[in-house]
Amino acid sequence: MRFITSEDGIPAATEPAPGAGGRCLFTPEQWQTAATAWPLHEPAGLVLANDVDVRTLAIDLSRFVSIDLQFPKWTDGRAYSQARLLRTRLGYRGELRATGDVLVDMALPLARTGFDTALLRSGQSLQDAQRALRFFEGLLPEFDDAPAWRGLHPQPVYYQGDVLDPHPLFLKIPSGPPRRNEHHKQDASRGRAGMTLDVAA
Amino acid sequence: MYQYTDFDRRFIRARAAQYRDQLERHLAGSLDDDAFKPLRLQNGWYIQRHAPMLRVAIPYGALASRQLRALADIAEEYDRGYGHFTTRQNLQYNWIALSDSADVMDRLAAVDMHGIQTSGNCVRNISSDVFAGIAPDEIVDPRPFCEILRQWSTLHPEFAYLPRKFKIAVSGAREDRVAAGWYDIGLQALSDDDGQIGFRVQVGGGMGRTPMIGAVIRDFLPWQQLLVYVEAILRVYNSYGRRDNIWKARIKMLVKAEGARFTEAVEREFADILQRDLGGDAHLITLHEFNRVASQFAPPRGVRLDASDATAARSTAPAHELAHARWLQRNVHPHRFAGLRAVTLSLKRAGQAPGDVTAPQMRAAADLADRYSHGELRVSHEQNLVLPWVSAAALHALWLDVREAGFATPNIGLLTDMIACPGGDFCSLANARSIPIAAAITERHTDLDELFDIGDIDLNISGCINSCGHHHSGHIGILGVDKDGAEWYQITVGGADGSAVGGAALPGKIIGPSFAAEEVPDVVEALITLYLQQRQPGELFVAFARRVGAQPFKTAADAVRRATAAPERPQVTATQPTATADENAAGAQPALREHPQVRLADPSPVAVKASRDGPALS
Repeated sequence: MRFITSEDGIPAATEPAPGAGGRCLFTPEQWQTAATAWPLHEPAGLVLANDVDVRTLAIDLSRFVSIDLQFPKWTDGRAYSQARLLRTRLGYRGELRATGDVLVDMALPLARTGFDTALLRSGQSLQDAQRALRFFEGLLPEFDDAPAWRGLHPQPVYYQGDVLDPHPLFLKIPSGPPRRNEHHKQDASRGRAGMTLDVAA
Repeated sequence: MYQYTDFDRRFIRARAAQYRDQLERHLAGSLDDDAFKPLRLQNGWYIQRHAPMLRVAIPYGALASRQLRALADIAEEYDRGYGHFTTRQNLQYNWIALSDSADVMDRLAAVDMHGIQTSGNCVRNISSDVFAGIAPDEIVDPRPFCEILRQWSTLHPEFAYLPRKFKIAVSGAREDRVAAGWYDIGLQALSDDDGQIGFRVQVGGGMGRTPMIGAVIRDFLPWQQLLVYVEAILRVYNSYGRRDNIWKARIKMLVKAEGARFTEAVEREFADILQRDLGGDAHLITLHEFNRVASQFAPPRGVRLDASDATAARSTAPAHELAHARWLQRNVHPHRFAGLRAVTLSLKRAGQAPGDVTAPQMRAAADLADRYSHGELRVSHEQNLVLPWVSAAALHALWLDVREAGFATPNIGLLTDMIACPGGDFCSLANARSIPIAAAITERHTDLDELFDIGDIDLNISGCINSCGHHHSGHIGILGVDKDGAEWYQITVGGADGSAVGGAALPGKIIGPSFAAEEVPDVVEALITLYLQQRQPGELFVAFARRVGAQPFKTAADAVRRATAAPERPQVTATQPTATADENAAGAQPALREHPQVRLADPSPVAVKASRDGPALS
């Protein structure tokens, strides 16, 4: 996850023109007229308002090197769903950027719904943002012994899957017979209506 | 009850550390009030009238004696020696200083407790049947599903900033004791003809200014698909729920505005997750996972599941003592296992606000749980404590101890077993006080003969339209309203939460303009008197109210008006509370339009040319 502070300069949506240098940002409406004439090699970015249902976009998303999603207020969580859908349903692989009222304490949900870049609003500390990402590291120590993670930060782990790793915790726990004590066996063996789940075990 | 895994423990400690970092940045001035507020809310910290209010999560109401003792210690060390149990089975403190809040989170984490998602616009702590796992009418134990949902919803990255709060209840029994119809999502477990377990899914129930009963959008959802289906509901809500007006932001408004289109959108999203998403089937609940979680809910070690009821018969021998007989009748409940009982410790008695519990009372209840219930307690929707594993043979001994501890009032389900929010004495949202009203009614109705004669009745009191005291679902409901700075009370009759006594869930009917505080006990008495005079044999208050309608109650209540009897009396009706505090601070001006901002779009295949269904309906 990359954080950009406002001091770094936020590229704004400008009048699109190829060859102007940098990346031109388009709204879906602008792209509808520009798409056919836009050179394939020329980088283009898409800007989506947070009330756009991304499932209905009739646009070839692979044309864009970046998509900007917007947080008009940081507590307006619509862009998290947009990001998640762009990644896991629509297969978008380019850069996803969070723009608008973006605070350091959004770092975790942003990262976990598939954003790679956060353009922080003014007054936000990069150090705080980096720290915010790391609170849930090392919760499954057995994971961190795996060679893949050696030398890196311990892997953060959560209960539910997310864009970074669709598997929930329960698919990560080593399988094997569930721990059951004697009482529970008695319990299941009484076979009251609706104990199908237990009996099936 | 659920036993924390090492991961669960590490997780809530990590959450407590994250909160401490946020608090420290706030106290140091680098995290301003607006940015800190949603963060503290999602850890249970409101700013209230006197101090921050902390709501501690008690998942599906299950509490170990050691946890209750820790809550007592926190009450004494950080609060003023008491707490308040809520209708959603949580505990609230009202006097803890914000600067102590991170320390309190650490203290809670030490006993496997937290305040995660007990407030804020996220999936709240999940509630369930107080008799889960022990009810004789149970189809399936709902607790493993509650726990699987709890884990799934905890710090869900996509659904932490929904349009509004989101509450889920799960019932596994034939009788609905969770008020499923009143929830954002109410899940009712069912068993189909082949013995397979699934859920009836109700969405869009809620109280507040617009009371609504949830619509059934799925008659039978196989249990394996529960998380995926809830994800689909939340995604539709997160994308299309209104954010322009706090009073229209709950999912009930979306369900009401869109009707069948809402259901279609959820079903389509559900199918898309499973069929089109990368790893979309990863959250199908496996049998292995269900059994892993279910094994955590085994009956406590040492409980005699095979004790016969013959022992029970002997134990009830002293039933000729009237007080004991009454206690057996009202406070002792049948159990799934013949030789066991569930016992309610009544927290409702004169001189104590409904749901309030002092530190010594917490410790006394914890001791009773250790002695008689294998160290386990439950918090009930009606704001009492329940001992779930009591041997029938020990009932008389327990009764003597319960009496000693002051929990023996045999009023469970009766008039004085009322539900009430903390009201204007504590809550900065409230328009009026609840506690003095509850106290006045309790003091008026201390005669047990009279209470038993009136029989089963739900009297619910809310200090404002946010409805924390569930007044809409009370057989008698009392709602505090504000007019020109004075406290008034609107009264409804005939509401129901969906449990067997009251029949199908239903909001009550208003019986005329609001009453002055001092009139309320007279009005309640007048309503009761009308019922006692005109009921048919065996007819409960709520059945009577449904039969005769609001008019006779209105007449009876008008007859006892004093302050509000003058011709120029203020015509007070329920108004929206002023936006002064956390819950309302995001509220915009009431919008005039009744339509959602954005119409539910019909997704088309990605590659196919189609017009985008953007913002519509202004």
